[in-house]
Amino acid sequence: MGYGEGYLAGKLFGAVCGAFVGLLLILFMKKDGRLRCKYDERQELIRGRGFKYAFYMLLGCLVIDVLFGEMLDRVMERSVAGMLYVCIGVIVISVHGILNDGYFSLNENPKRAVAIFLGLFLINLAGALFYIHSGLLVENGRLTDRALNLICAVTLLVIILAILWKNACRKRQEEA
Amino acid sequence: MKNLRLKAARAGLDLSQQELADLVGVSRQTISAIEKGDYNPTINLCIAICRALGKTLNDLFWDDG
Repeated sequence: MGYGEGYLAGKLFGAVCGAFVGLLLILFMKKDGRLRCKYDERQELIRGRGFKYAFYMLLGCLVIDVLFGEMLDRVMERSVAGMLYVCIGVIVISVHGILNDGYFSLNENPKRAVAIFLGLFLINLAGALFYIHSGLLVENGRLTDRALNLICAVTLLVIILAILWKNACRKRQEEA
Repeated sequence: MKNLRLKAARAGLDLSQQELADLVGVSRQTISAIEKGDYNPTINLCIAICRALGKTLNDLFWDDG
């Protein structure tokens, strides 16, 4: 399928705008207004383990993709499968970090971060619901790249729930 | 193994875990993990904690055992 120059330019413009907005959101999450995250030695250790687990998970996904790629192609487009693997890796590293207190850096404001995640979740959920309602999510029995919103929404929901669950556990421990 | 000497030294200076964490530049959860014995700090962090609490490494981290 051939894409026009306009389509590609639009995609590039969207990516640049997304990166710019992402940069602003990261700055908003920080207490000191710096881009760089500061972690202590225990957090670095936990994050290192998280990266390792996410790497193995991604490796597993790629092996599955190599072995069963043709079958997957019947139910979803390539871009959907790729995004699915990325999100699985993101979930592994995020949830591992959250549950072991290694997710938020020392100069990060967790409340602001959760607020941003919630906002991004709602935006993606709205997009996903729109595509589900309009019937554009599935074409010829295959998930189209319009399912990316749904995948991102689920990823963000898992991360938000992990943060809330960890907070609830911490409060319970402090009260005990 | 719990580090009760660290907890006692911190409480002796009337410092919360968060205040000690801010003094040594780590998260509150890291101080909590050290006190609970869930995390073994590096020598650099041990020294930073000792300096913040005015104690020696022997006072806080050496196990006569």
